[in-house]
This record gives sequence, structure tokens and C-alpha cells, in this order.
Amino acid sequence: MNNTLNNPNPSLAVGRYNYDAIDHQFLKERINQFRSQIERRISGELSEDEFKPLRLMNGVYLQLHSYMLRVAIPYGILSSTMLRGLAYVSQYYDRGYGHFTTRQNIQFHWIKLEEVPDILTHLASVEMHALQTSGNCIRNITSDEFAGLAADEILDPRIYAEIMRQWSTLHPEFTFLPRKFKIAISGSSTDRVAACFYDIGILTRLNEEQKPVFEVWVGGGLGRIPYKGKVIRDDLPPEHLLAYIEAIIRVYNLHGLRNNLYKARIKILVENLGIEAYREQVEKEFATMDLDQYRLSDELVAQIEGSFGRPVLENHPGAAEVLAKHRQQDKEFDRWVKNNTHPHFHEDYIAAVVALKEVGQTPGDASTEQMHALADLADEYAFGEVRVTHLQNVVLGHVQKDKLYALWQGLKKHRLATANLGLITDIVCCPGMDYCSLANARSIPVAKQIAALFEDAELQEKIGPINIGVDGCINSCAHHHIMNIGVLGVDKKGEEFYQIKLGGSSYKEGAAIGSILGAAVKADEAVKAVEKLIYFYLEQRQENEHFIDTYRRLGTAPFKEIVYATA
Amino acid sequence: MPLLKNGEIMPDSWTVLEGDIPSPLPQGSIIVPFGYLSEIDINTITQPLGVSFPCDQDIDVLKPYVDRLELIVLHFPAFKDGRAFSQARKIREQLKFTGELRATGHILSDQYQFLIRVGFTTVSLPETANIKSWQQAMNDFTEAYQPSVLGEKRLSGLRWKV
Repeated sequence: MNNTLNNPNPSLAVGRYNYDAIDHQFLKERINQFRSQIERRISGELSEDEFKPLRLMNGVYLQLHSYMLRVAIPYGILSSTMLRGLAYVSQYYDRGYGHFTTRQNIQFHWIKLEEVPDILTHLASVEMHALQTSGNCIRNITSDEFAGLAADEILDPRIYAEIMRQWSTLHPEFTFLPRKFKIAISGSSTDRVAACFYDIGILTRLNEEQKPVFEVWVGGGLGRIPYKGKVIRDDLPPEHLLAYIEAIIRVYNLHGLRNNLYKARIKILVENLGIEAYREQVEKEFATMDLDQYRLSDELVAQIEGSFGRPVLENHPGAAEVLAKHRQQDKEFDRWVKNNTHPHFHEDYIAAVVALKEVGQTPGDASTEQMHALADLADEYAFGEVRVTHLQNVVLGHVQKDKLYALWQGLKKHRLATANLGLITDIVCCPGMDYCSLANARSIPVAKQIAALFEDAELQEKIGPINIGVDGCINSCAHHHIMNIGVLGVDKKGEEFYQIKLGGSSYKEGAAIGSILGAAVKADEAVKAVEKLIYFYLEQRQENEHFIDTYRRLGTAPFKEIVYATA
Repeated sequence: MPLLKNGEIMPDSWTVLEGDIPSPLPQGSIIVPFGYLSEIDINTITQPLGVSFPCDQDIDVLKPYVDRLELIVLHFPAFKDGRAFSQARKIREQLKFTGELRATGHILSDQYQFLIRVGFTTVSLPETANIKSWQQAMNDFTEAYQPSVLGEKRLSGLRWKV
């Protein structure tokens, strides 16, 4: 079913939709509109209250010290040209770095409002925008970082993510929803996108006739009241994707709560109505729609797909043996390959994950120089394609196995070869009170302190797979609710305290919202608590249990006792 | 209040009736609150009839009256409250209403093209509105990425000429 080998067109950027004149014209018009909105704000025609949602829909936030610009990376795919465009923005309009987020966006934290139209113009020249990266509209659509290379893939989710990106762009009906709306899509039945914790999460499976159908989850979400979503339909033919999600969102737009910010997400509506009643309303809406108008015909899908560049994957007999030899010769490289690669469906290729999680660094940050280095390495080793993951790392998707060693050496020069993927120092972290006006507490220093405790590579491997998320507020950008260990910053009478959650799990198999361990503690105690939890787990684990398995076997109580026992 | 149609200010011939509806009804075209329709025998009204419909009701309840209506007014209590966008679309696509669909309330010129594309034909503007901004906004975008009730020409793929 994998179409990656079809229609290679070397002039197109790999892995993403390439703009044509129509798309460029649209972005130009959008930037002109934003320019005039800024002018109307300055003239007083627009009040601050009126201007705010307009600037948010162009990705511009007002943070603690400055404006922040959040740039969309649709389905997480960057070409080397786009990455160089981001590097340019970081160098000339920011302070030499950017921050990759859990929604496959990038944020620049030191932006001047009056420069935003120029930045957007520069980004448009590399086919990028900040459209709908904020506001109560359909946000950037996220996807599987191993799309187009995973062996278990049924269809390439990026094609459908792009279709939804286009359809949701300035949607006349859905640009003023009760609250923000997030969609994630995976092209396989293995969940790598946290589908059950999205407003709409889509997984793909083969039906009885071996045809691909979508399993559509609705009403999941994190934030103040976390919910695991529910399956609204498990056999949606891909051709009806747009009509069906339009029906889901129309019901939400009409009936979602609007008088309480904290109850306005679709998850509350689905919970209040019950999934059966919600489904009934959606089906009723769907039945009235002119399906032909929305149909994603084979021709239409092929047309969108034809605007995607495809890597030309060739056979390289002996590549695997060369990689094996390199691993044998270099233990450090061997460790990185073991932790930071993912199998490719083509046996002579492999996907390399570049962890932006060096101990001592802010998780998810990349410097201007690192962005340039990644762009160059992507050109040399990965068809110029770079993928941003929802765990704040970066993937080079199609690397020839016999060239992996050279790539790793290149990454190492730029401190991009940290071998900790999926290990305890691969911490997900929001910007927190160092930047964000919503935060109650700082998150970055806590994440750094936890990572510093476990810097030793052998210790990390002994601990094994585990994920930690550190959030500076309940909005949960770092997904602390669904991490094995979640740390949440809270404000107690003006002081920063941290709550610890245990047992969260992000993906469909075993998806769970973590349980609060006990009373919030100060930062240094929270860091110590994580340390105690880990050493207790190491004592208690049976054979090769992962942290989450030991937690599930023992329950919360013994972990709580270890952390809160008075010496 | 100025009434905008196709980017031009035009005279408003409709009288809005609110609160206690006088009997007999005033002459000419009248807009009555939706609740009033169930209080009277609609067949006794011979003059042009419009209805003002709240943003929190299901438009299906308009079904028995829709053939008799020449105008439906939908409300935006705040410009961030987008319910009337969906109501308008449903009124056009599901009730097949072909009369005047009028937007009123707190609306920004930045929403003008959205209004038009979901089926509104007129906008009731506050006295203070900058008409020039509204006229400009009509031409903000020359293309869109989704079909609308207007049946615009498809350019290619998922792009339509606005």
C-alpha cells in the first residue's frame, strides 16, 4: 500500500506539499490583510479586544517580555529551504534560536510586533506561514513523524493532513469556534500521534475488504480537565473525510459552551451529551450534506499527492553490513543507533532521530547554527527533508544505512548527537514562566535539573524507556497528564510549587491520564521526588519491566510513600 | 443603522418589531422575533415578513415558516461568537432559503468575506462603522480553500475563485 516509490519528481521538496502560484497569491493576500489590521489597530479603528484574536490567528502572542511568533510546520515536515528560512528569522528577528513545540510548530520568543509582516513575508517566500497557530480555530494539523517510511503504514497521512490544512485555512464557518481545535492523523493503526487526546484524532486501518478506512476519535484533550477521547466512527472511507469532520465541527460550533473558557472545548460537549448523542447529531448533519462537493476523489487525492516530492529510494546492497561494521567499531555511535533510530520500510534505509535534548539545554530549542547544520545534513543525507516530532525532537527520515555513520559524525559536531531518545533525559518541556504569560511557574529549570541527575548514559539505559513532561501551567503544552511522570507547576500564594503525576500514557494502547501523587512541593523537592521515584522503581522492577509497567503492577501507594515519607 | 449589500450602503425598507408587537401590525415590510411566529396564524399576514432568529436555537424550527419568509436576521452577540456562521450555512443548504439573510450584532469587517461565503447577503452595521474598511474587506481574498454556498468556480484541487 505504500506509495512512496511512485512518481518521483526531483524538482519538488520531499515529504511535503509544494506551493503553486495560487497558494503563493493566497499567502500574499493574507499578509496584506494582517498589515492593514495592524494599521487599523494603530489608528484606533480596532480595539485591543478586537485586534487580539486577529493577531492570534496570525500566530502572534503577547508574552511576558515580548511578542512571540508561532510558525506552523504542517504535519511536522520541513524542507532544508524552509529550515534555512526559520534559521534566518531566528538570526535577524530573534535572539539566535527557535523553540520546537509539541504541536510540531516552532516559536520565536523575542519578536517585535511591527516586524511581524516582514517576517511573514520572508516565511512566505519559503512556503511557510503562522496561520491559525493560535485563536479559536482549527490549528496546525499534526501527524506521525515516521510518515512515509514506517513499515506498518497503510496510507501516507501527510496527504490527508495537507488536504485538511487547506480545507481548514480561513474556513468561513469555523474561524470563530468556541475554543481552539486540534487535529492529529496517523496513516497506520499504530498510534504515534496521541490520537485519543486530540479534539479529533484519526488512525487508519484496513477494513474487511482490505480497503483503508479511518478510525475517528473525538473529544480528547488535556488542559484543566483532561479526557481520553471516544471513537465516533471506525470505518470512515477516506473520500468522506472532509464532509465528516465538517459535520463534527459544525455540531461543536453550534452547541459548544461559549460562556466559560474552561468548558468550551469539544471534550466537554462530547462528555455532556455522551458519545452516542454526539454521533447521532453528526450523522444527521452528515446525511444532509452534499457529499459530492466534499468528496476526495482519487483524482483530487492524486493531484495533492502529485505536489509532494518523493524520495528516490534505491537499493544499496551491503549497506546494512557497513552499518553493522561501523557500530562494532565505535561504541558511542552504536549507542546512538540503538536509541535514536527507527526502522524504514526499505531495508537499505533507516530513520535517524536527532534529539534536541542535550543535558543542560532547553528541551526543543535549536540555535541558528544548529538549524543551518540540520538543513545541510538533510541535503546531504536525507533528501533535504526534516521532520519535527511532537516530542520536540527532529527526524531525518530516509538515510542510507551505510551513510549513517557520516551523518552521526556531522551531527556530533553541532551537539546534535545526544543518544537519549525515549530515555529519561528526553524530557518534554513547555516554555513556562521564563517566557509564557499563562504560566504559573518555571518549567525549563526543573526539566534541566531532572536531566542533570541522570546524565550518565549507562544509568539512562538501565532505567530504560520512560517519558517525563514538565509543564508550567495546567494548559499542558508538555502533555504532563499523559506522561509516565508529569510535573506541573502551580502557584501557591505567589510561590512556585510543583505537582507530580504518575502513570500517564500517550498512545491508544494503554492510553491513560496520570494520577496526582500528593501535595505540590517546591522545585528542589520535586526534582528530588523524581529521583526517589526512579530509584524506587529500579529496586522494585522485575526483569526488564519499564517504569510504567512497574507502576501499573504496584499502584500509586508505594510510590507516594517513598516521596512523602518523613525521614 | 447602515445596511451593507455587496459592499454598498443601501436603504433599509424593513421595520424591526421587538418586545410587545402592536396589533394591528404596522404597514410595510416587518421583521418579527422568532417567538412571535408561533403566537399568530402566519397566513393572516399579507405584508412582506422577516424574522429575527436567536443564535442559540436549532434552525430546524424555522422549517414550517421558511417558504413564507423573505428575510432572516441572524445575530452575533460578539464577533468571537461564530454560531451564526453555521446557522446561515444550514439555512441556505438545508432549508434551501433563498431570501435575504442579514447579519447583525458585533461584527468586524475582517469577517465580511466569511459572512458572504456562508450565505449572508446583507450586514446591518453600527453607525460608527468604517464603510471603507468593509468595502476593502470584500476583496481581501481572491481565492479560498473550501467550497461555499455560493457555488464558486473551482480553480484546481481544493482552491476556489472567490
